[in-house]
Amino acid sequence: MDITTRNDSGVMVVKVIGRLDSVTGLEFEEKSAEWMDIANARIVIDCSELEYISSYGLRTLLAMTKKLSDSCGKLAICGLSGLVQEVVTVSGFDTIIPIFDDAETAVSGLQ
Amino acid sequence: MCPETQERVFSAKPENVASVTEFVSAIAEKAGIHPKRLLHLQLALEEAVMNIGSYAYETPPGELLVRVTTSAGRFVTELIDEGKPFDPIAMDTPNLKAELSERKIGGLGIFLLRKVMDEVHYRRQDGRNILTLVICM
Repeated sequence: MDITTRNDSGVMVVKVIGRLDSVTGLEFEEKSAEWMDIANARIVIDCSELEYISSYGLRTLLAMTKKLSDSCGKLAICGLSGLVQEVVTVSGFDTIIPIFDDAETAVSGLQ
Repeated sequence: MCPETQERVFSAKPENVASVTEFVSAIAEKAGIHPKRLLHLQLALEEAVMNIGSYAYETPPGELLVRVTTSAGRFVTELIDEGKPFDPIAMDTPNLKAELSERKIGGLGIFLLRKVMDEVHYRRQDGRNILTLVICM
């Protein structure tokens, strides 16, 4: 797993590349704690180069969503395809995390 | 094509997800599995091995025998442990429509495993749990 982050109009765009699972999840959790450690954090997880996600990965996204909703922050995900889209959809996560086609529309959506 | 079986014993612990996945994936790739189905297989393996590694043995880690059989049109992975009886197929489906505050993650892994496999079978035999994951190729 590789992660790149950038700031776009006050929204942090986090691109997760590769796999988000029980092997990489802990590293992701540690990093996400830093991203959320600001007031009213707005975060977009860009999954356009994420090939694989498991229930462990979903759990980290769910934990982020809960934490941000408690601290008046916001989380969105974008760029889903293949297995990641399939897993997010069958798990019903599309009803609890806003999903956008790409990073640009996700950033506008969180403004 | 005659059925061909390969097997390997792993220590049943969550940290071994990667080595189990690597072992089975190498055989699956050689058998010509579609890349999309390979991801399905890896997902099912991760969820199953996490479960067995976390819950099967009272005094972990016990053993996990992974047996892969390739035959015409079927790719079969058996995960065999000697832990306490656990039938993942008998588990309830998690509530996938729950609100954020009530959303629980338990059971989701097994739900996903069942969604992405073509067949999942469980049997308890001679004090062992045998979980069979099947992909039709």
